[in-house]
Amino acid sequence: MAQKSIDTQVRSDNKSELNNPILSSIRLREPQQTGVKEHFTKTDPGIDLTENRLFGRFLKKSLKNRKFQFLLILPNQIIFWIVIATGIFGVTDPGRNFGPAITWYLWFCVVFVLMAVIGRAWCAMCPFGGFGEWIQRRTFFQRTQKTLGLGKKLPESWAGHGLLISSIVFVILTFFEEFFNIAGPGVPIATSLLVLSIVSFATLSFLLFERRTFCRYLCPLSSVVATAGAMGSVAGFRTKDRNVCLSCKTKDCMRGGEDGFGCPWYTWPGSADSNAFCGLCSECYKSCPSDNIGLFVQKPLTSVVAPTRRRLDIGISVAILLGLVLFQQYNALSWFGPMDDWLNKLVKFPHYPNPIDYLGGIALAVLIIWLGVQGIQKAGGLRKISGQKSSWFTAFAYAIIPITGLDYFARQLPKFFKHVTRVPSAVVSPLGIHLHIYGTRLLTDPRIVTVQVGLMGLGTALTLWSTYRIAKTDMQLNARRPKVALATAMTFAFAICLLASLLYIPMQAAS
Amino acid sequence: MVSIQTPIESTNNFSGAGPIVHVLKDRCAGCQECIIRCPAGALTLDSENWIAVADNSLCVGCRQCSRTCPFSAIYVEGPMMVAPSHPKHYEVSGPLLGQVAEVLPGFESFDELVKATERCLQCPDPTCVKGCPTHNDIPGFIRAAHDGDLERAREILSLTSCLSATCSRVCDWNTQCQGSCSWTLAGGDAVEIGRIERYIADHTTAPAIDPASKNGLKVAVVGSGPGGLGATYELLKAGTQVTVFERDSEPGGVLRWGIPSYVLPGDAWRPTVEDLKKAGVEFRFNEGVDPESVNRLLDDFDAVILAAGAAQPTMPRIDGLDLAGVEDATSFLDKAKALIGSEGFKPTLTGKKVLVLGAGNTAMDVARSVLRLGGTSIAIDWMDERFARGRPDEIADARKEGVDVRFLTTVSKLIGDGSGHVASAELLSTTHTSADTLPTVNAGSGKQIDVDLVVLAMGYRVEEGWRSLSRSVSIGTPPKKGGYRMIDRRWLGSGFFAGKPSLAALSYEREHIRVESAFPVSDRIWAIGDLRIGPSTVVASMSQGMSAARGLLAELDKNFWRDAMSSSGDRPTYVGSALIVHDGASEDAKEATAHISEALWGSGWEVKSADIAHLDDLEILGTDLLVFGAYVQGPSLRGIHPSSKARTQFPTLPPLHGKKVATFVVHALTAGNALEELTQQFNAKGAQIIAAGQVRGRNLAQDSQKFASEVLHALYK
Repeated sequence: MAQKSIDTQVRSDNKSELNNPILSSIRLREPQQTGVKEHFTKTDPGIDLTENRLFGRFLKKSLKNRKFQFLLILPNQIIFWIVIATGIFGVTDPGRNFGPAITWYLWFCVVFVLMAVIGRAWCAMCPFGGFGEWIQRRTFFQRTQKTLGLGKKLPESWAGHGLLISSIVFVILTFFEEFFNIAGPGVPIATSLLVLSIVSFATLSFLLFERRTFCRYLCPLSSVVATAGAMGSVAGFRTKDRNVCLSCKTKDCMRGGEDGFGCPWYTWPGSADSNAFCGLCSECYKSCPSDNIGLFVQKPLTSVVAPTRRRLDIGISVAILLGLVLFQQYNALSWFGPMDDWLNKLVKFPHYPNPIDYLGGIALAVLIIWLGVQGIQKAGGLRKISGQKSSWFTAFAYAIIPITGLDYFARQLPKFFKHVTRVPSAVVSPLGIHLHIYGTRLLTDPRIVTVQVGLMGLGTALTLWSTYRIAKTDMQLNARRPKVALATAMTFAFAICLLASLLYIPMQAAS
Repeated sequence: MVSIQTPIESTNNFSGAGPIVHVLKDRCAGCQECIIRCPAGALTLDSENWIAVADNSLCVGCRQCSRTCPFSAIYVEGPMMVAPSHPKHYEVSGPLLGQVAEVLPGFESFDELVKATERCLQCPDPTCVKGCPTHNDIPGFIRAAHDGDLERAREILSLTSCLSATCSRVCDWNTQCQGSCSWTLAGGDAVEIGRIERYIADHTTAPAIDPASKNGLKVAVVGSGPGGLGATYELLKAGTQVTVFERDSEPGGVLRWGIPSYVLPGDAWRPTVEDLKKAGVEFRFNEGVDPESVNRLLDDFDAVILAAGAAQPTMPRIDGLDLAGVEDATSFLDKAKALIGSEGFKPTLTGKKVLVLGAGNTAMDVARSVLRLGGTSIAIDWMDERFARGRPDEIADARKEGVDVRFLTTVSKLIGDGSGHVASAELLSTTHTSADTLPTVNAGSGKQIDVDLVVLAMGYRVEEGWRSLSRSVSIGTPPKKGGYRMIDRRWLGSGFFAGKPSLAALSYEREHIRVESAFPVSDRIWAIGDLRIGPSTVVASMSQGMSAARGLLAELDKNFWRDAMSSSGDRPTYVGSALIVHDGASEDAKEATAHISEALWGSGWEVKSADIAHLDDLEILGTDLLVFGAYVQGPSLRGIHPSSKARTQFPTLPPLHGKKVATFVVHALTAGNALEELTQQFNAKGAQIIAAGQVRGRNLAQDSQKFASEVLHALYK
């Protein structure tokens, strides 16, 4: 039996350990450090904002401050409780009620801009998660040691599905939103009830599960933010020197340190290679005992094209989300209404949207993307390699993130351009002030479509670039016919972009 | 870091399906916490996906990975691949009368020992070491024992324990090393660490204590119980001249009078005392030290370690305590020990009924000694058995021998026979619903029983003289439970808290007290063991004694730490060590400490800088100077104070008796009374303030350097 000798002199030689004999009995294996460069170089962002000469010092001070996230959440928290209150007690005209007006004319657009530029910026200031977290931590901002609630782990069978749960919740929520015409907006109380039910669901989750299990897995917006946010230029909190993290003995950023909680999002800055699960809460920045965390920015789309550890759940989520937004597009076409009515009569469902064509439409999109990828695989002779990275479906789904994200944004634009002026009116109308801008449109219909199509054009360009990068770096290395693989992938991506973009024209005509 | 141990090969063959490791790909961050701690080497990193991957064929099912994962991203299903343990339980054999044979059996053969060692996983981050109050290198000595090198195993043990033969007999393994064994944490049977240690201790002699050189220090140790012996042993190894003051005529303290021979035979601990004597320790028997005369000892000695124990019995408030036939456990056990097994032994309690008040460990010793003296014994405790303080195994063994142990029972009065001797006792039932509350006595449930002797075994407390000393002068308040800052993440990382949170918390509490023991309670005075924290265990007292000795050496023996340090470059010769601590509340305070560090370093000081939140208390030991800087918070409605971080963290600092301290505050506009507040807090900790200053944020560099100059001036004047 091969055995290594015990060095009995360790303790007596090393006086600094004499009063801490535990240390010399620890014989940890060396962490594996090979492959670090290969895995992370492409995704490592270059610029650490905390080292910026102009504002780095202020930023460091702010991020170290425990009130940082509290101050981000607080204004949104106040607004959302006002939304709930006005929805219930305010006027019934949704255009003049602050609740639905701010939620559906402004909020979603702002959230989209935030995610497309910064990633999970909304998550850092979200009142749903913020409220639950305050209760769970029993504090608004202090570093507490004991939490409230059961602190359960999400069952492995659920957690293993990653973002898929969030995507499903989003699909269900959107169905209800369409069914009750909440975002239309319909009656204001519906908006209040929707917000209240999300707050209740979130708070319950925070009391039942540990950390931000709700935000990571259950929040309906999580899958949208994680996918569309990949376009963002903020890489999130990352390690400055990966070797310091690898040799770190305490992992305060994961377990929580004196000054900060363990990462609520289950992300280790030492291995983060995308911004998908960095909630920008700054807890790791606060807790790192080695001052080895920075807030990094990256080139746009880095988290779309660069990650070497692509996730199948994100891939499927992209396909689902694209299917959903396409459904919302073609259901506005003139031929869709009669078909939906016919189906409703057939299955005795009260009204639009029929769950069969709703879910069927989403499933069809996923199927088409999957079949398309099969086609690319066949045409280009792509080899099957085990692991998530080599799942060509996942790789292609990542490539179409830009068009998916921008499609959601484009679809929200009419409400924004037509009705956002109602928001200031709704703010002041309870005071008896009536603004003349109520009813004023920032843009009129034909111009809105131009903006929408233009935006989709931008999405198409970004998608083609992403497809090109992914196909060039990953697919071509594993293709028997690299050029064909590239060409078919680009063609398929373009076809999707074209379909999504052109749908805006008949949609406008139908409306 | 020491080279990784390979697991000991087991001769046991397993059949059937083994454990299966599941890694949650979604959540695994590739931090490798599981990989570096897996005893079996079953986990590696998939560097393409940057997640852990398991080789199920190597997995032994100890679940160390799932306990240590910070994100709960790994779990194991299936059996534990370890041979079953067959610990020998005590079985009563033969008559108890006069019996002195040890009740707890050790290994009968070397083969038995080897079989037990084969179950050890040689964990890279052994939780058993954390569970052991003195932190024996358990995987180390088990490996050596398995290799057949018992001398080496003993050598490893002697680094952290001078009472191996004793601890391996009297320790409550289930709440210490064995309770925290990886197998136990995984729900299986522990490696029999206690019996392995006992075999090693019984079959070897302790390495000779032979210090390379004298350090010139003269230290007085008050008390020769386990704490005193531990301190003496450690001081002696460093070449200190030690004098032990013992009020009794013999050494050993509780080892001698408090534990019966059938649990701890005298030859288990006496060799330690003999070794110490041989190595030059002066034992002064029948020379107790009064609390009032402690300070006088400092005239003749460089330092004093107080280890006088807690020997004052706790008395119930009942009538009849003054009757003949009522005595305390100490005197009873002392007499019983002398009688049982003596030449011409005659049972003195034949036909006598003895009531033992209490059902803790001492009470069980008393009750079992009664049986060996020919009597019958009833032990009563007013608590519910679920919350009892005694070791369950001791209570079970006592019951096996025939002790009538009754819980939820108390005594209301002792009744005499008319001639002044106790004749009966009135017992009442109690109700006890929770461990956090005291039992309530059920009035009207009185029942009288006849007794011939009553022994009070309700625990001990620190004697009044020492208690008053602690109130007035020096010993200070005992370390507060939970007085530590948050749990050390190195402990969390080991998975101990994830396995058995309550046991881990208990062990961490012990560790906190052990570390606190390293700090003086007054200038040049250390206090340890039962005297400081109230009744505890043999091993905890011994480890505190060793810790105090190391702390003392760090503070007073200048060669102890310094020999490894040397001057370098153009710096002046080493003049001292400084620890510069900031409150971490602002970048300004951090920057100021950097300027001060630079100035001191340039003057020949060895400098270490730290954020108070991340400060390991032990780092304070041996530093000649502590510099502390805090940011000023305010002005606000609550006034101007040191930062809330400083105020929160400050109380958790250890005592700083005699430590030179320089403190400063960093402010933007005004410091208000913040500096005074800080100096007051340091004074309360017993520190010697040599400089106090202010640093303005807008003039940070200059003010910091000016303050550093003031500190240096104060040091050299």
